[in-house]
Amino acid sequence: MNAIETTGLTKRFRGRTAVDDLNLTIAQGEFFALLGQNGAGKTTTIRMLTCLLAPSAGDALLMGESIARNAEAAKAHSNLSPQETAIAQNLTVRENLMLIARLYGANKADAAGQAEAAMREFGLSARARDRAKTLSGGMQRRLSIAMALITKPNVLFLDEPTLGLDVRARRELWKTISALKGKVTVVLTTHYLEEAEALADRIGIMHEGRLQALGTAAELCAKANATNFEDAFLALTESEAETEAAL
Amino acid sequence: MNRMLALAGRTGKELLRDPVTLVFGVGLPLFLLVLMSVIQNNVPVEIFAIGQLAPGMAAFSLSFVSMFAAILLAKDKSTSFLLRVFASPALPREYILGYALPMLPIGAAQCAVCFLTAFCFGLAPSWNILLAMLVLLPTAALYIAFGLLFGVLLTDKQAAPINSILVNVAALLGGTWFDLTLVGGTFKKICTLLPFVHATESARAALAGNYAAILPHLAWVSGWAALLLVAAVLLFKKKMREN
Ligand SMILES: Nc1ncnc2c1ncn2[C@@H]1O[C@H](COP(=O)(O)OP(=O)(O)OP(=O)(O)O)[C@@H](O)[C@H]1O
Ligand SMILES: [Mg+2]
Repeated sequence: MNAIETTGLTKRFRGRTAVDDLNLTIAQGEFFALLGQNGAGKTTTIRMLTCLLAPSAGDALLMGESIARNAEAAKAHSNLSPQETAIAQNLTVRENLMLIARLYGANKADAAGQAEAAMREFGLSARARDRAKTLSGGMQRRLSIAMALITKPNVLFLDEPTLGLDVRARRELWKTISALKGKVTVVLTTHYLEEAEALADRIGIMHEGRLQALGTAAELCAKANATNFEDAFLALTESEAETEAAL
Repeated sequence: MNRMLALAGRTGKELLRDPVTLVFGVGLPLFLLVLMSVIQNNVPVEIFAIGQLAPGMAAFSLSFVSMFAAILLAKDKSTSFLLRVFASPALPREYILGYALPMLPIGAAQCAVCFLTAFCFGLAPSWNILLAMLVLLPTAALYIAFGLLFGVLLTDKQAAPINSILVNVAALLGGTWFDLTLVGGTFKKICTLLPFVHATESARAALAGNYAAILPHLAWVSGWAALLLVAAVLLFKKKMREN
């Protein structure tokens, strides 16, 4: 069974097509990076796959469960770290983590244990009893990501997880995320190309809602006839107007 | 059940840890109650007699419940926290109750404070006070429904101002401040269609031991509450699929 299988997944917002006929298969344990410039449709794709947004057309199977017909089962398999830092401001770090664990079915005692482990893993233990709103932006970001990981999802969606982190925190997060490789299916979006290049097994490049290119970093470089990945990315996301002008 | 309790616990904590709104929600009705009672001692007016004023003020204080619910919900939308709840396997009834239920003890506390204060101004302790609080349950549900509705529909910035309009409407049209029959006409007709005056009257009737008079008012408030709750739940569910 594949972790994710989308068939003709489409989302239209009043005339604008944000995601256009997406057909994509992601294997279990695969680390998949979804790239694309602002407005390409990455977040919209993730919102559909996490059952936060009903598709206008098409469907997707998440661990075999249809997001359109059996959202509840699909949800139990996944968790996400939204593009915005999503935490309860007046709860402490520990309470935030425990709340999410319990929302996914853990009882109080288990949730407490999972919260301890997550805080250790993300260097949040010292702030366990502090309200989330008193943390720095980077710490809040880490908490938000820890809240996605605490439920041990089969499929983990990370929408720009390193946004707003300093260099060291970003490196540390990379380490944490790459430790998941092979164990958890990860779908990551990012604007840091080197992040995708270093971590991902395969990279999908979206442009104006369509999946423009798909493959390993090396394959994409070869496809675009580029010597480095950044050039490849720019070539693959060039708008038609620009391409025409260049010809 | 576990999921609902987890969310309800969080709602309760969130409210108790943001004491500004809470102090306001208890403080303002209390201040008005004391003020009117002091005036009453000097210039007696029937409508401000403590037996009339205290239940009116208890009903009015519940309108702040909608403020609490709407602000919390709108904030959860703007911080994307609600996304997390929607992405989790929690069911709509679990998270809607998770927001709604903790408002009940808070509403009960507000009413209790109103009646306890009223003792200082000559309200005689009686079982009818407990009855009045029970009778105010549909009123609490009404304002919870308003709160959920506003919380789902409004943004973070709109929630507080729009809700203060509701609080003022509830105060003005609730019949606590002036006798609506004195105004009469279309105004009074509108007031009797809306639930606010019935909330006040149901509590007054209960406190006065005028049991037969309770039911029609109670039915009117309950009808509105049910209508608004259904609307709130439907909008909430719609919101869930449209983030
Ligand atoms: N709720 C909405 N209503 C209308 N249009 C929307 C909505 N959400 C997204 N869009 C539009 O859909 C398109 C794709 O947006 P999306 O957020 O998926 O892009 P993205 O790839 O995540 O971009 P970014 O890198 O900036 O996060 C954009 O044109 C956006 O304006
Ligand atoms: Mg995005």
